[in-house]
Amino acid sequence: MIKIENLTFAYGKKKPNVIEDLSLTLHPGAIYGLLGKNGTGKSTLFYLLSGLLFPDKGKVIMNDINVTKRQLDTLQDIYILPEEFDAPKISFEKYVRLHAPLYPRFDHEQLGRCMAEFELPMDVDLKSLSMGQKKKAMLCFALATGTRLLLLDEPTNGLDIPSKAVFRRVVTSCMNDERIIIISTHQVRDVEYLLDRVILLKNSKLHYEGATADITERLSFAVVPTSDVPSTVIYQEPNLAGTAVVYPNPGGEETVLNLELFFNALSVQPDLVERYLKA
Amino acid sequence: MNSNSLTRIKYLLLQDLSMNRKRYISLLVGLFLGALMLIYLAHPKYLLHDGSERFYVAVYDSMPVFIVCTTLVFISELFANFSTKQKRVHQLMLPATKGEKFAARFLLCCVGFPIVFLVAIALADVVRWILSPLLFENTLPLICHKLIPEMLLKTTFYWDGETLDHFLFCAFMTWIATFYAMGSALFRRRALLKTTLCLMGGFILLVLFLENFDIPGESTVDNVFDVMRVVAACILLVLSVVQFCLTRRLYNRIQVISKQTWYDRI
Repeated sequence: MIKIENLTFAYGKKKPNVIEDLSLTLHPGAIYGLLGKNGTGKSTLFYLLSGLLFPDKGKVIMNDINVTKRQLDTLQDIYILPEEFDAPKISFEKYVRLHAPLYPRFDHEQLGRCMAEFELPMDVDLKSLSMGQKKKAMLCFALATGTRLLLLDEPTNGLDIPSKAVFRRVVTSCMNDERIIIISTHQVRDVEYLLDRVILLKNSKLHYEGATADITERLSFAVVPTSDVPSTVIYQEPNLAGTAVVYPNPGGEETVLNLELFFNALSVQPDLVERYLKA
Repeated sequence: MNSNSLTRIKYLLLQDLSMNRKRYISLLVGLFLGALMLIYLAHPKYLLHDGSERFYVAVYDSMPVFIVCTTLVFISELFANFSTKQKRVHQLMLPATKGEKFAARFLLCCVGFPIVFLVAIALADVVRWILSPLLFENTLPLICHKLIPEMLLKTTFYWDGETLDHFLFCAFMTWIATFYAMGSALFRRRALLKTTLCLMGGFILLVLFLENFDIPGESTVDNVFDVMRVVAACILLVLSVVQFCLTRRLYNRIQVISKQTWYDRI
């Protein structure tokens, strides 16, 4: 379990807070989606969670240890895959040989399976790969480390269309009851079926945190003809097929989450959406 | 669980060498060319007309400056692995203790590189020895087998001057080494240049400051001069300890994105 307590951070004394008084508990066995507009502090939150930045106030506690201490136990349990990274000019096999021994729960079989799913050979030269291929290889490595906290920043950026489905498959296959995976992304369509919970940041603050099952239990998402918009609609936006709507789901009918629509609804009608979510 | 491990240090060293091998090869080639220039091109007249002993003395006399400069280049590399955001993420997230990561870099920059440096001198001498007969009528024998042990002896155990001078020299070298280590932790990118500029600026200020005092020279009473050298050496050693502690503190406090400080604007 990871406890985030009153986290506040700014990139300078005179600069505005990027993260402000954020408190949250992350439970193992869940895949979290971290959503928010540009500049709302998603990457900063990742850096704070991994101890790469020190908060001005508050703390992040992982397994009863403050992550800023950068203790060995903590580092062996966290892996962050940034959006942009320097892939070294060595073969992937060599990269694994040099880095895997540092992760006590590294799973070589898992790595092999992931690489096979992405159709990448193990002896591939990292230097010769395209950005998307590098991302796939590093993603496989990240999933195989066996760390209890895995932070993926825009993991589907640069991936081709078939690889996005493979991404969802390998992430699901690497999930277990001890693990927390947080995916920060703007490509919500790529991950919306994957997420167990959603964290939404707005104006440097935690705007919403909840289970995707709770959202779909209370809200329905649909695209209807513009003339048939339900009277109970909470939020609507026109699209090419008609009007996309969010409306209450009082019967708790099974419905498919539209994360983009939910995000927009929560941004435009926060009070109304929250009222239905708490109902 | 959080104790240091030699196995992890080994992996950190291997990672460092594999991932930065191009940069290190460039450094080796640069050192080799520098040494070659020094022992070959800088003293052509001895090669042509004089005996091996004079050639040896000439090389030996010019070597200390080269050693000092090279040492400072090595020490400035101490935190080069933290120069970009991506590198900082990689380094800081490596599952090893802070001590192991520091030890790995220290071993590489302060033990590994000096060994490479001695190899570069030997290689340069071998090349000079091979090429000389092609360029000149007479040649001179290999000197590295004599030069390297003497250099090592002189900088460690043996000192032909006064003990106090040796003490002061060692204190100064320790101080300058820790100063450049601190500069590397502080600046990380182009640390050698920035630290050198700071050092020069500091010396100018010190000279301007000392001009206000009447400092006794070597010609004055011996005791006063001796006391001054001891005091200076002690101050330098204390400063060295302070600088080393600051370097470790800066290292422990490195973040992926630094909050802007005065030295970030340089």
